[in-house]
This record gives sequence, C-alpha cells and structure tokens, in this order.
Amino acid sequence: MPFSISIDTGGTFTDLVLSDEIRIRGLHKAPTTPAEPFEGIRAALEEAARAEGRAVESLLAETATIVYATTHATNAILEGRTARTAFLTTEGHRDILLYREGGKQEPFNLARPYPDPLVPRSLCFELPERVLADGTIARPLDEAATCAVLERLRALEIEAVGVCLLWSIANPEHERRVGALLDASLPSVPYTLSHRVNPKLREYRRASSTVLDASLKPLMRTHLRTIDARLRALGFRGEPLMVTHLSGGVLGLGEMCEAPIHCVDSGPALAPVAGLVYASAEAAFEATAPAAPAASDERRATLPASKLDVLVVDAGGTSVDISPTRDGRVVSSREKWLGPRWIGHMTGLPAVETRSIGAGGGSIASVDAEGLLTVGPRSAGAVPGPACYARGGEHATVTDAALLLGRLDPDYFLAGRMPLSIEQARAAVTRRVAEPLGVDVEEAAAAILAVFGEHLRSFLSEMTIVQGLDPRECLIVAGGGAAGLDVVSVARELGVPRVVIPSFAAGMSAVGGQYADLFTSTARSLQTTSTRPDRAAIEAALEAIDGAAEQFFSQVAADGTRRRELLCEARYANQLWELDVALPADWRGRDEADWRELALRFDRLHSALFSVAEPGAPLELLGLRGEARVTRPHPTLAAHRAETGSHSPPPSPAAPRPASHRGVRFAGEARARASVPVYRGRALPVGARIVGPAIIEEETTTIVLDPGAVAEAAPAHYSIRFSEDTVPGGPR
Amino acid sequence: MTADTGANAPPSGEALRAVDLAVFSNRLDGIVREMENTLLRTARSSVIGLARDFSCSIVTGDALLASAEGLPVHVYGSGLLARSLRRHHPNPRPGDAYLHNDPYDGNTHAADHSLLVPVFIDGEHLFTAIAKAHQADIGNAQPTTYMPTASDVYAEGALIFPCVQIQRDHRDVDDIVRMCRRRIRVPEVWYGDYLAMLAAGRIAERRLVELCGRFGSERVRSFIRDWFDYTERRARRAIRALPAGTTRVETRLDPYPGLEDGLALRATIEVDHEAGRIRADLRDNPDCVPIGLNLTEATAKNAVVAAMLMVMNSRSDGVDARVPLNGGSFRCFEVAVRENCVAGIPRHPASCSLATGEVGVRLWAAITAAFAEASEGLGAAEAGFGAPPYLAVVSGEDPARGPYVTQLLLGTTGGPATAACDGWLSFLGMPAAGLLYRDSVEVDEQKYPMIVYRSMLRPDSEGAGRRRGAPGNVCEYGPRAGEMQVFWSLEGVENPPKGVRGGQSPTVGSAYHVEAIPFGAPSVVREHPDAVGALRLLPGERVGSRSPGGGGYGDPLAREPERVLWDVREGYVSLERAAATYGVVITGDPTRIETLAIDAAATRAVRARSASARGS
Repeated sequence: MPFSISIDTGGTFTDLVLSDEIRIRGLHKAPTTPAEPFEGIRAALEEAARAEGRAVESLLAETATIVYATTHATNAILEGRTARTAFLTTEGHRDILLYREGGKQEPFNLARPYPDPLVPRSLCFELPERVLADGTIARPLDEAATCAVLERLRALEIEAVGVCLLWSIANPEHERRVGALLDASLPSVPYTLSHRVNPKLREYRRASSTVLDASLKPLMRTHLRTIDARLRALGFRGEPLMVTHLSGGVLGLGEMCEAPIHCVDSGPALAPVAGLVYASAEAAFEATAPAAPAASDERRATLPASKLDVLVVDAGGTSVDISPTRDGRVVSSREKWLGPRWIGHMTGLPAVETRSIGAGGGSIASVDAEGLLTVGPRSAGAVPGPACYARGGEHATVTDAALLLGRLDPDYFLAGRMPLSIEQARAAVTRRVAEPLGVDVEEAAAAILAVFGEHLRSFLSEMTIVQGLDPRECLIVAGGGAAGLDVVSVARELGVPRVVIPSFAAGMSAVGGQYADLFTSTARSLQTTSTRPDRAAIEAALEAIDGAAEQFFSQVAADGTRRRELLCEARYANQLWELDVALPADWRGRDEADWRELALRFDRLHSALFSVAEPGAPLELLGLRGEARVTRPHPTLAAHRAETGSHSPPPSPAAPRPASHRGVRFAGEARARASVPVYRGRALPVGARIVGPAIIEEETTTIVLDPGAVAEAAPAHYSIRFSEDTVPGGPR
Repeated sequence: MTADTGANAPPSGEALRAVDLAVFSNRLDGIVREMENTLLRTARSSVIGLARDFSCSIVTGDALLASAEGLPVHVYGSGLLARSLRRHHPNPRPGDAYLHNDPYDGNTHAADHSLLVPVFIDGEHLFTAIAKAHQADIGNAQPTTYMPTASDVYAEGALIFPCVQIQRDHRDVDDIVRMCRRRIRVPEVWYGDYLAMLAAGRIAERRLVELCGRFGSERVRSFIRDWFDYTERRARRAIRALPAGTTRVETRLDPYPGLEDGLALRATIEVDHEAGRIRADLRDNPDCVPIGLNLTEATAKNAVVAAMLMVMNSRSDGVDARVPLNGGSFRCFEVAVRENCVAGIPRHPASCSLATGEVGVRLWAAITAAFAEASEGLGAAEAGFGAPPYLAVVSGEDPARGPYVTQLLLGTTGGPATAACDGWLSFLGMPAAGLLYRDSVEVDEQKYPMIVYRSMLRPDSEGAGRRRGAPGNVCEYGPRAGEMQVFWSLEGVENPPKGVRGGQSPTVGSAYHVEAIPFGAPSVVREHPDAVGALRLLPGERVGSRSPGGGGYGDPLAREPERVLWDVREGYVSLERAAATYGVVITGDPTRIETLAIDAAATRAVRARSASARGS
C-alpha cells in the first residue's frame, strides 16, 4: 500500500502528514533543528513510523511521493545568508534595487535608517545597451564592455548573477546574449534572466525576482538535493522529491532547482490549500445532516457551506497568517513582501495571498503613560515566553490573559506537556496592565483579550475588504495552535456565519501538502488594447503558453486530472494598476464574443474589488498567464473519530460527556465566571453536538465556544455556527 | 441584544473605556486605509496612482479624527476644509459631495482637489470624509500644476471651486463636471480621478454608518472625546520633553523672477512646559508676494505643526514621544498667522500655486534644524529643496495617443541626517517625507512617448556629518516622439540646505539641457541655472536633473571610519572627499572595491591636524 508523505519544516516544529491511498493516517510533529534541517524530518519520520508500528526504512520503502515545504529559502533571504550575488542592468539604471519603489513607515519619524538593498551597490553593474518600450534596440549590447564586467565578477568571486535589462520583456535578445556570455565565461556560476523568471512590466519588481532567484540557486540546489539524497539513503525509492511552490502547488526537485524563488514562503501557501479541502469536507458533512434540526437551529438561516467564500486563518504563537480564497480557489497577489512592507524585499511573482499580523499567544500587553492599552506587536516568543510558562517571562501576554479567564487549562496545555503557572500570569497582568489602568486583574485580562481580538478582527476585516468579500458570506477555516482561542468569537463579531476548526489544526500546511497540485505557470507580457488588439502578439503569447503546458503535461508521470487556466492582466485604459482576470481556457481573443467575455469578467472583478466599474470602457492588456496543473489522487481527510463520515446513528444530545468543568469568563454582562463543561476532542463521536459556553480540548489546540456558538463534531473537524437565541450558561 | 465590544469578553467601566480607545482608534485608521487603497488602485493619473500624492482623512466637527499615514503636507488642513463646508453649506444632506480647491478658504493649493463627503449619524452631520489628491492638470494657463511666476490667481488660470456641490442624491451635479471637462487638459484622467476620490469618500461614509450602527453613536461619541483627550495628554508629555523656552527661526528663500532679493522668513516657537503647549508666531513675515509662492492658511500652519511633530517623533534618545495626529494633539498648538502674509492667510488674488512647496518647506526645515542646534540628539538637518526636472510637469502630444500632461517622479531628493542615522535616500523633501512612490521607468516609457536615459545616485552630493545626509540623484530624460514641454523649479541654490551641529550643507540642485545625440555618445550639456525652469524638447533631446542631497548632523570628522569606507565602497563618496571632508584616509583602487582599506594611522593624523587647525 503506497504511502504519501508531506513535510512542512517550520521555524519551531517540523510537521509530517502520512496518508495511504485512501485516507490521511496521522499528523506527527518534531522540533526543528535550524542548523540541521534533516534532523527534524528524521524525528518526525520516526514518530510516524512508531505510530504505524514499523521501522522508518520500511515506511519509506513503501512511500511513493514526498512533498516538502521549507522556510529555508525565506530564512536565508531574511538573514542575509544567500549567495554573493551580482546584479547586471542597463546603463544609467544601476540603482533600481537601491531606490525600490519608495514608501516609508512613520512619515513623521526622520530617525529611521534606509533599508539595505538586496545587492550592495558595489555589486551592481551597468551594461551599455538599450531596448525601448516597443522592443526596438536603440543601442546594441556592447559585448566587449559586457565581457569586462564579467571579468570583474570573476575577480570579485561572485557566486550568482541576476540580469534584468530594461524592456527585456518586449525584446529579450540582449538578456539572452548576456546569458550566453555568462555561460561562456563563468560556466559554474548560476544566473537568472529576468524575462525568464518573471516577464512582467515594472523594472524594480522584475529585478527583485531575478536577483532573489539567482541568490538562492547555490544554496537551495544543495539543500534540496541533500534532503532528497538523505531520504533515499533511508530507503525512499519514490518519484523525485516534490517541493512546494509559492502559488500553493508543487514542482519536481529538478524544476525547483532551476527557479528556487518559487519555493520562497511556500509553506504558508499550503494552508489555504488545506483550508479549501476542509471547506469541502464541511459541505459534505452538511449534506449528510439530519433533516430535522433542533428548534434553536431553525433561526440560523445561512448559506450552505458550498456557497460561502473561504477565509483561511493559521494562528501560531507569534503571528497569524490569513489567506482569502475566491470561487473555491486560492487568491494570488503580486505584492508579496519578504520582511516588512517597503523595507523588506518584494518577490514580484504571483504568490498565494497570505498576510501576516504579528499577534499571537505571546503578544505582549502594556499600558502607556497616558493610559492606552496596547497588545503586540512585540512578542515574548517561545523563550522566555508568556509569564505563565514560568521561564522568567515578566511581560503580560495574551496567553496569560486567557489562562486567567479560565480559557486554558493550566494542567492540559499541549496535552499536559507544559504546566502553566496561574500565579505568574496573575502577577504579570496585575503589574503591567491592571494597576496602570486602575482595574482588577480579571478586568485587565478581559481587556487584553478584547484588544487582541480587535487586532484579529480588523486584520480579517481588511483582508475581506481588499478582496471585496462580504464576511457574512464567508466561512473561516482556522488552523494553528492558537486558532481556537479567539477565532470563534472574532468570526461572530465580523458576522461570519460558520467556522471550521480541523482536528489537525496545528498542521494545516502539512495537510495541504497532501492536496497540492503539480503546477507550472507561463507568463508573456503584452502591450495592447481591447479596441485595437494586436492579434499577432496575443496569438504568439497563447502559443507559448500552450506549448509550455503541453510540455509540462507530457513530462509529469503522475496520474491525475490535468487542468489548465488562463489569466489576463488587464486594466481600464489609463489606469495604473492591473488586475488578474481569469478567462476561459479556450479564450483566443479572436472574435467579438471573446472580447465581450473579457470585458464582462473584468468589470465584475473591478466592481467586486473597488465597488465601481466602468462597463464599456476600453481595456489595456499587459500580459497573459497560463497555469497548468495536475491534480494528484487525494486521500480523504483523516478518520479522526470512531465513526466516519456521517451523522448516523444520530447521537442523542445527552451523549457527549464532559471530561470536567471549570470557571470561564465569557462575553456578555456577566462579570462572574460561569462553570463550563470541558470536552476532550478525541472522545467525541461524529455528530456530537456541543452547545456553548463550552471548551473542547484537542491535543494541540483549545477551542473556546462562547455562549451561542454550537459545534458539531465532523469526522476530521468541528463545524461551528452561531445561534442568537442560545441562553448563556450551558448545561450543568 | 446589546451592543458588545470587541471580539472577546468585554470588560466594563474603566477597562471598557481603555478597550474602546484601542478598538475604535484602530477601526478609524482601518477606514482611512480602506479609502487610501480605493483611491490608489482606481486612480488614472500617475501622480495619484503611482506617486501617491494624495491623502484621506475623517474629520468630526472641525477636528481631524483620523488620517492613517497621510502626506505630512496635507495633514493639518482637513479641519479647515470641514469648517469651510459647514460655513457654505450649513444643511448638507446624505448623498451630497463637495469639490473644494479654494486656496483662500482652507485648501492647500489649487492643484489639490479635495472631495468632501458629509456623513450623517442619526440625522446629524457628525463626520466629514475627505479625499485630497494632486491632479494631473487643473486647467492652468500653462500645462503645469505649479506656476511659480504667476502674478496672481488670474495668471494661474485654474478653475477655483470654493466648496461647490458636485453630488446631490448620489448623482453628479453635471454643471460642475462639464466645467472641469471643458477646462482641464486631460478630462478623462480628471474624471477618472474624481470617481476614485468619490469612491474613497463613499466607502468611508458606509463604514462610519456601520460603525455607529454597530456600537451606538453615544459610545462612538464618548470614544471621540476620550481619544482626543488621550492624544492631547500624549502631545503634552512630548512637548514637556522638549527644551522649554523660545526659539527664533530665520531662513532665506532664493531669488525668484519677480522676487529678485529672495525672501527672509521668520518663525518664533515657544515651548511652554507649564501649559504643555507650543505657541508659534508667523506674523513677522513679509506681505503676500506677486508670484506663486504664497502659502495658504492650511500650509502655513501645517509647516509649523508638521515640523514640530517631526521634532517630537524623531527622537533618538529613548524618549517615546510619538504623537498621534488629530484634533487632540492639535489642541496643543497655537499658530498665530495674519492676513495678507506670504506665510499666513493669503489675500485674494495673490497666487498660492506653490503653497505646498518652497516657503513652507523652508520654514519647516529651518524649524527642525533649529531644534537640532538647540539640543544634541533632537531635530534634523535640512532636507534638500526645490523641484528639479526629475519632478517636472511634462506635456506634449503623443503622435499615437494624443495629448498628455503629467508630473514625473523619476528620482529623489536626499533626506536629512538625524542624530541617530544617515538621511533617508528616497526622501523627496519635507512635504512628502519618503512616502511618495518613485515612477517605474518602464511604466513611464509605456504611457508617454519618452525615454529615461538615466536615474541614479549622485555621488558626493550628501551633506557631510557624523551622520550624513542622503545623496541626491542624477536623472536625464526626453521625448521619443513629438515635442515635450518641461516645467521645473530650483530652490536652495543660493541658500543651500543647512547641516547642523557641525554637519555640512549638501551639494545643491541644478538642471541642464542635453543636445540630441546617439545613445551612449558623449553629451553636449548646457546648464540651465534659472530658478524657474522651462524647456521645449525635440525628440532625442534631453533635460538633465541633479537633485540636492540632505544636510549632515554633527562633525564629519567624528564619523566612524568604517562608515566612510562603506560610503566609498558603495560609490556614495569619492576617495578624495573621504579624505578632505571626513578626514578618513582610504587606500586602494575605488574601481576595485576589494582593494579598499582604511589607513588607520593616516586617518588619525589627518583628523588630529584638522581638529587642531580648527582650534587655532
């Protein structure tokens, strides 16, 4: 029985999900050793093997595919550990990377240092040449001067080269020629040409993708090949390692080595892939629901899960990642920053839209001299961590507040592996928040959670706004260890009608790895309009895209559905920013019907995003992008519970028995704590219905159900809805 | 169900007020960010959509409530616009919108069109949402939005809209739209930008109504009071962390055509610890001048308030004095201005075409520099002045696509040094303070029939100092097809930006013309020293721009030699300048960076010699 393994190497934990041909068998976690990435993988493999009752070697021998997600590339960039890279560009434009696109935080603070460029200015070189916007060569490439530059690169012991010439997207001849000269004179130095890695208007973004890609080549090639080799040394004999892609798909090892920028930040890109799978599971679960709902359910008239837009939330200890989806697909963005906006670096490539807020269980609460309570973005991290970890942390954190309000069980944190100190939490919250505000400690803890919830709420809200989504028509899939603490109440505040919390909440990306498609994307830039279309250019772009897709399909050995998508970058004439519009895969731009279809889809998207549209206005087309994917055969989500996949036999409402009760403070006027039932997730059968206020404790997350929230146990997740008339207090 | 707080267990009493303060201020900023996103993404002109020369704000009564990260030069004026609205339209109705660009009645300058949307809560006009954006064209007599030599508002020629109604019942008042379409050179661009501003205003309207509906307007009102009181307390603490007493600031503007002696400018700033207030006086300045440099009430007061906010927000001594910008912190400022004053309230028909530049920027920079001189660790050196050709308004006729006019932003002006760090490279002067986006060369070349030949850092142009100013920029461009008209202005040439506490002035800005030459051939250059520059270029010809750097902070001989070595290696500073100005002797070949090294002994000797020469 061939296994499939997906691995997500994060900063703290390495997550591993094992599946067989039918279903996911388990999530396994091991600590990551940053200096030796394979150690975490080996440890996680050992956990999996132990759970399966066999040896690692025998497990791997029967494994057909391994999908690998890593933060290795991202960390190398953020920590400046990439190759010593040179940047070659058009004469007169050496400072593209230094100037960036502008923008600055804190406009009134002049005492902020200007960020370092991706490549120091001393390693940026100009080549005498110039191509114009229409592809005309205004100045031929000076090959002698170019060779002199290449000689300098040799003297400087450059390890990688990024080449981005102006308008190489209109005419790549010069870039190709520089590539040939590099092949000839520096054959062992990897390089990247901008028109290949990211053929896209706007020189800074293209240059940034180019240089990032080149700078990762030496490091990531070694890293990926080493991981593959070590897995094989342990007995793995399956197809080449599949590496996750920033678009939420996977690429074969060989292809990824050719363009390693595609694995930057690819781990978080898998969370929305998993999120969509859980959303489908919710829709399936809903379809099996008994016809006659309980009386209180009749009021919760909401759209069925299949009609809701999915928002995916992955909440860790120090940050929360949020990814929107649209029409059942992940949303992509071109404005992916590594590090803070404006002072980090932009990848410039279409990537899964995932935004992070520095807020989590470790976020520090404090009160300024004038009485404003702030929570985050400073974090106590894992060490020393929140005060309640009793490892010397003195700051009051969100986890401390949650503990004081009874939301966490001091004896069952991480399934009891880390006892928490209420005394330390109380001391920190008293000193840092309660005393400065002049309120009692429980009020202070409630205030901390309220402000923290507000950060999450506003972040989620901005994400929906930017994407033109209506929260009342959204379903939130919440993963991550901290998801259950806050997301339910935040969702309710936003008007989100339904929340799905996976049982494997703490391994969303690794679960996503089981469902990621093999993926390739081919882009061609254009400069044309809907009123006077350049049919030859469109035809040539489509031909290139078709050819790349066919080649990809013929190379992929794996079974699975083959699917193609076509996107067009377009904008209204004279607008400055373009949108990616999905087109029918057979769109050719030949007849009126094609152009009407494009206009219709563009107007609709523009209206969804900006609430205005200008039907009938001419469109400018800046590019076409083809995506080709092979959807591999999927396992079903884990059979986490005893029964699988249905509501029958219908459990009696009395059936779920709480493991214990404890005092918890909830929303509403009640200052006093309510005694609330606490359930162990593992013990709940499919179909079990838990009415809030209640707490469900899973091994890696705690789900807090406010009064009015109702959770149903599905085979691999909890389905949570809200009923306005549920009386706070809950069962005794 | 009663309105409850945030996402989690709401606390009560004092704790509730603390939570509301955090929650509502966050939500208002979110609404302003949503306005900004809408405007940026739907605008048609590059000056808005690419360079980001706009700002959004929410006002309650006459007091600014939220502005997220608006342009420093736009911030203070929102309250004046709202006041103007209430004066001219005492009974606005839902569905209204107003167009305002009147420099005599609260707007910054005529080129900034402000769109005001009154927002009603329980039938009361509680908020005004304002989107303000610099337009590509406003129908001036010449195709530029900056007219430094205009003798008066008639010579400028722009349509002035003294807070006129442009929407009623959510529909355009077509008379006004037709006037703009007739007079503005790029009517489609203008109308697109108008729609973008309107969308921003309407989004704010919808969100504010939702917010008050959700929480009850009483609770929002109570928050507003608390929020203003909080920021006022915060501003008072920041003011009390400044040295008490009166600072007299003097600076001098370069000569202009029509202003042959330049202009002496003054400000008095009193920091009153007891009252926790800053009192400024701008009345001792010349009367309105017969050229386009007069400030407006908004920009005159803004120059002082923004300069002081920069002094308070740029501390490097660990004092956390960050002050939120709103009506609460503005209560701590009194700026005395008088009518018919170049830095006060302009008297019609004096021209205020450049009211967001020049005179205000001079005062602004001089105030931050004066506080630096008064107290080590505070303030900043002066940033570079003027709008060299990299920032020009260009126009012409694209043989393929018809007429165009736009403001370019192809380079930068260097930022000033502070005690803590070197100047911000892409600073662009006080009014923008690093916020504006630089044009993409490819986008400009695609949209307009032009070629950008170069845009790069200008070596040796930084104001030297222990912390140096950022260097300026060198940029050349010209038309590819058709003629191109270019308008720019230089400032700070005769009176360069100052360094502080021993720091030096940067190299000043200049402009030149390049004859049509083949790509890469040696160029024939003719300098264009005029303060107000204009050129008509034929295809192949170019205009050249050398922008100033920012001033330095502290003695350049005290700069760490390693930093000077970095500057040399990165091509910011030449080997010769490193030795002559910084007293750092670096050996090796600057074209081969791996050979560069500090000669420590020689450096010590040179620095000792310079110090003793200075002492004697």
